[in-house]
Parts: sequence; structure tokens; C-alpha cells
Amino acid sequence: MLKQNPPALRVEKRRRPLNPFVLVVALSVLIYYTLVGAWPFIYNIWLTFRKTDMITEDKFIGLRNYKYLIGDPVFWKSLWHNFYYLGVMVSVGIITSLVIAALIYRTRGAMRKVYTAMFFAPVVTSMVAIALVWTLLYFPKIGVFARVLSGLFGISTERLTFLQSTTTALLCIMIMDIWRDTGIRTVIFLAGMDEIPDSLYESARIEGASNLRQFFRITIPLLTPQLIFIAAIYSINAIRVYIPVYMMTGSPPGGPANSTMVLTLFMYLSAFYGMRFGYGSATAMVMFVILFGLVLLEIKAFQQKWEY
Amino acid sequence: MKRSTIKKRAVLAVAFFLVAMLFVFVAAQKKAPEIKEPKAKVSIDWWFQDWPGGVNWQKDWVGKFQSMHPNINVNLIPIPFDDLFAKLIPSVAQKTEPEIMYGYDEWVSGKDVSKLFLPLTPTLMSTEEFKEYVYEAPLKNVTGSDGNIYGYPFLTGANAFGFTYHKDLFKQAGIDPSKIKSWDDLKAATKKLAAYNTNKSIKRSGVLFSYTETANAFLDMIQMQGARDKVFDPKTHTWNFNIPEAKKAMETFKWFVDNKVYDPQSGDPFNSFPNKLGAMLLIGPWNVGSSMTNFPELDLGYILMPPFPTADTKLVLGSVVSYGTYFVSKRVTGDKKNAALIFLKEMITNPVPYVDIPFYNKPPYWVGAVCNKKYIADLEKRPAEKMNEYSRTALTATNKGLPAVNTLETKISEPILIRQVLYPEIESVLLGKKSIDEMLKYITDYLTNQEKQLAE
Repeated sequence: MLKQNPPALRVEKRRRPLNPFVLVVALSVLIYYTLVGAWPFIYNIWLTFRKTDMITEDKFIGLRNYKYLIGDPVFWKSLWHNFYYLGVMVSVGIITSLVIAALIYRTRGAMRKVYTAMFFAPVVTSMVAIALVWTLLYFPKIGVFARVLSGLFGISTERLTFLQSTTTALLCIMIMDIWRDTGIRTVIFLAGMDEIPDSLYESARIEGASNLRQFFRITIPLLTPQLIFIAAIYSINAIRVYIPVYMMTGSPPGGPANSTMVLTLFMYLSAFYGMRFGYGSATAMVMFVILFGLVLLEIKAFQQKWEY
Repeated sequence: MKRSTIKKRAVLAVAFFLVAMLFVFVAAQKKAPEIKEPKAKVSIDWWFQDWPGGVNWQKDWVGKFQSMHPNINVNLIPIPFDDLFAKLIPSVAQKTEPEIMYGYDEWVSGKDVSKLFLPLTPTLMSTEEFKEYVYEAPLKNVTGSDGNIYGYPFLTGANAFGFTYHKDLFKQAGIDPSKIKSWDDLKAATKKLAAYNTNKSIKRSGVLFSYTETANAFLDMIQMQGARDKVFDPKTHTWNFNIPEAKKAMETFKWFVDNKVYDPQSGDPFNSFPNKLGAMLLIGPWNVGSSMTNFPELDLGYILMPPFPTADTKLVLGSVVSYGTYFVSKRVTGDKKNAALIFLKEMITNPVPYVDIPFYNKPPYWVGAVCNKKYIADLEKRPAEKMNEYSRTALTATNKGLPAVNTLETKISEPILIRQVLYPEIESVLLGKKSIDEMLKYITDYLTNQEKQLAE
């Protein structure tokens, strides 16, 4: 006798009535993001095709804002500064935080918490306040840093001009920024290190691996997700940097001699100093494209499976 | 009655009627429209630049005004300069501006002011009457395409009018400031004023150059050599700094660095000068009052910038000049409008004796060239014993400085031209990063591009 296939089970989907509360919440979130996200973005794109000061002049000029941008040497200088910032912030920031995390990881008990808190304190301090204090510390030739470096290493104070030198101004700002966020990177790395099973280190010890070898062969590979995360976040921050540069370079901002000019500052000055909102918007679009590219890279990196 | 007589009488009657109408019409034009005092209490907001002493002075004036007009409450809101600049025009676009705004006329340079602010003429008074109170030159940027005036310029902003100096350092060096008549005299004085460390590095600069004033002075120097038409052509929107006059102007600044009289890496001059890291500071006269408010122990003086390059050259100032100007919102109506207009009218017709308000109490807070003719006339009549150094400086700055103003007709905004282009490039040369020729070529190309883009 032929076995017949049993009739397929028909599962009726019960239609649940739509919860009005959920609908209201979802709609309000949608409205919010439309107003503060989508609408400004679309409006910004529209502005990039216009020559406008928002009141007395407003006309369509096509792609000319982008053409002017490509021909503006200060724009290219700003772009270079942002990538320089990215390179230094990510590399030096990761290395310093990794080293500090590794040292704190080896401590135990209350001192671990004390060290973590010490490094985390600048993270919760206002960036504006930190920038102002560091500007004073960087006072050329007679400031605290100048005197300390001169006393310790015998460097002539004439060379210690920090924010007044076109060579060192941006680097000084980066050092401050790296110092400020060391705490949060350290905490992220510490959390990652806590996840690494001790058995791996024990096995390595039994095999005769030194501490340094364990660090490079076990710790760092297993911290890959944290490394990628930090690299991605701080790359984005480096492109968006504004407050430290604005606060520490005084008037005019971006000095000396435009050596600290970055894209956000360039965009702000073009729009609000030069009253060229179309031009500023075009700069914002370029920043968006760069940031979008970085985010895509980050997503791709996270989607990868890391096996050891 | 004969027809001819009737005809004659009719003609005479018509003629008389026409003359009477003409008289009434002319009288109506000349007579300032009456602004009604608010019957109920009204409050108006006033954005004012937050600078040392300036706010105190304005608060004092607001107190006096409110005692004269008890129904009008003026809410003075101090805002730092950069923020005020960034938000003034956008607030007008967003329709969030206050009733009265203080700003600088070059912020609206090249713009149609009739779209931005309330006209003061003929709303407040006729244009002719307005010009009886205010010098003509400062009205340029605030006059609309319709010929009406849209702002009340009161005094000059930060311009390279001269040098603030430490009197004690001058005395120590045996220098009489009144004898500095030329840039050669200035160079000699700064050499005497500079001080050096044992390793011959500069301990104290003989002179410091603040950023906006240096760029302003650079343009003024070019004009003083008679090269106004060479450096900028408003018709073709082109700049040309590849001229000997521009090179000579830059070489003047570089002289101070090369001769170790000015240290361009001595820090922000607004910090360095009060701390006596510089004996003189190229600045507008406003800095005298500002420094003395922040540092009351300092004994400062002010000398006007000498003509360039010789004492015979005509003094030219303010290639990019800015006047502190009061504007009224065009959205304001009813009692608030009247209150704002009354406030402006008091300032114009009964000018704030700003060097007097603090004179009896504390060091003065602001000194500059004053745009109000009535106030200058009052100052000139004042007996010498009632004049202090600051009121004398205001008189000098106005009588010598204002007629010397010769603004360039550029479309580029002052913050971009002066702060973002000229000064950083001047700084590049002073720091040894660029040669003068490279710098002049760069600013020629860059500013011409900007000018043409704005003119399109």
C-alpha cells in the first residue's frame, strides 16, 4: 500500500491587532529621525548646489561649489590634516592604551580600580576645560611643559613653542586628545583582556613562552574585535575633530598659518564666517562621504570571522 | 466782476494752494516722525558684544535710559564676539533675532541690508537729519539700495589705528612717544624697547603684532604708497599683490623679525602684551580701555600709526574697517518697535558719553574713533581739565583717523579676508615658512578666486 504523505499542517497566522502604543512610539522615533537626521541631510545636499547666505542671496549654481572646493588649497590642507590626525590618533592611541591596559591587568585588588579611575578621569572631564588648561601648559617658552622639558632634557626653550609652531601645533593637539581618551580605550581593552581564558596563558607558560610572547601571540590576537572597534571609532572622531582645534588655536582658529586647519573648522568658517552656506555644505558632503566609507570598512571588518 | 479778474484770482488761488502744499510736504519730510512712548511696560532684548568693560558701560547707559523711559525695559544680553558674529545673520534668517542688535558693519558688507534690518530712515528721522548726526563714511555698508540707512554706526571696531604701549617701559628706555612720527622712528624705538636673554633670544619684544591689525595694516601700507588701484580692481574682481608696494609692506613686518625685535612665537599677543612680553602692540584704540579693565595695574598709552613710508605720506587707515553698529529687527512691531526706535534715537541724538560714564568711577572701557558728530562736537567744546587721556584719544582717533579711512570695495567678508587668508599667510612669512614672493603670489591667486566666486 502506498503511503500517502500526510497532509501538510496548515498553520494559521493569527493577526494580532496593532498595539497603538507601539505605533505611536515607532512613529515618534521616525518623525524625530526625519526631522533631525533625514531632513537636514537632504537640505544639506540641496544647499551644496546653491550660492546662498540664507537671506540676501540664494541662487542655483550647480556643481560649482564642488569645483571651487577642489581648487581650494586650504580644503586640501584641511583634508591632509584630518588624515594625519587619524593616523596618529589611531596608531599611538591604540599602542599607549594597550600598554597601559596590559600593565593595569597585571595588578590586582583595589589598586587596579585606582589606576583605572585615574586614567578614566580625563574622559569624564569637559573637553573644553581640558583644552583650555592644556593651552596654558603649552604656553611657548615659559609655560609648564617648556620648563619641564627644558629642565629634564636640556632642550632650548626657544624651540619649545608648541602651539605657536606650524610644525608642532597639530601634534600638540593630538597628544592632548590621545591623553584624554586613553582611559576609555584602556577600559575597553581591559574588558577584552578579562574575557581571555587564563588557561591559554597557562598553557603558554608551560610551553615556555615569555610574557612578551604571550602578549603578542595571545593577548593581541584575541583583542582583535576591540582593536577594530577602537580603530573605527577613533578614525571617525579624527575626521570630525573640532573642539580641541578650535579651543587651542585661539584667534584666528586653525592657526598658526592654517597649520591646524581641519575639515570641520573649514566648513564652519566657510559657512558662518564667509556666509557661504552652499560652500560649507559641500565640505560637509565630502566629510559625509569619507565617514560613510570608514563606517562601511568597519562593518566589513566586524563581519569577518576571526579564528585562531 | 470782470472775467479777467476772476481768472487772475483763480490762478493766484491755485498758485497759493500749490505753494502751501509744497511747504507742507517739505516740512513733513524734514520733521522727524514722532515715535510714541509705550503706555504699558515693554521689554526689549539687546544683543551686545561681551568685551571687558563694554558690558559695564552699556549697563550703566541702560540704567540711565530706563530712568528716562520708565516703561521701557532693556534686557542687555552680552555675547562673545565670535558667537555674536556667527549668530547675528543666521538669527535674522531664522527670525529669532532680538529687537536690537549690536554688530559690525563689515558683517553686512556687500549684502542688501534692506532685507536684514529695519530702516532707521525715514522711520526715525530723515536721511539728511541722520547725516547731521553721523559722519558719512561709516554709513556706506549700512545704506540700502533704496538710499535708506539701516544701522547706526557708533564707533570703530578693531582696526590698525596705532599702538598701545607700556608707559613705564617707554620711560625706562627714554623714549618720548610723541616723537614717533614715521615707521623709521618706530623701528628705532622698538629696538630700544626689546630685551634679550643671556643667549640673545628675545625676552621681550619691542613690538607685538596682533593678527587682525597686522593684516589690516598690511593693506593700509599698500594704500599709503598710492597703490590702491593696483592692489584691487573692484570692476574685474581681481587682486594683485605682486607689486613692489605689497612687497615693501611685508618687508616692513619682516624687518621686526629679522632684527630680533619681534618674536612671532611669543604666544597670543593679547596675553603676551599685558604680561609685558611686548612693549607695544599694534591694535585699535579700544585695546587701551580693554587692557586697563582687565589689568588695572597697567599704565598704558596710545599712539596713532605713523604714515608709511615717510612722514609726508598721507595717512590711510581702514582698508577693511569695521564700525560697531546698532541694528533694529525688521520683524518688531507695535510698542516693542517704538521702544527699540526710542532707544536708538536716544543713542543718536543724545550720544552716550562713554568715555565719561566710567571716567568718574573707574578706568574707561572703550576708546575708538566715534562716528557721532554731536558727541565729537561736545568733546571739542569740553574744557581741558575735564578731558582725560581716553577722551583725548577718542578725539584724535576721530579727527585724524576717520578722514583717513579708505575702505576697499571687496565682496570677501572681513573674517575670511583678514583672519583666514591674509593673516595666516603673513604669519607663514614671519615664521620663515614661506618667502614674501611665494606669499604674495598665493594671496593674489586665492583672493582673486574667492572674489570672482562671490561676484558670480
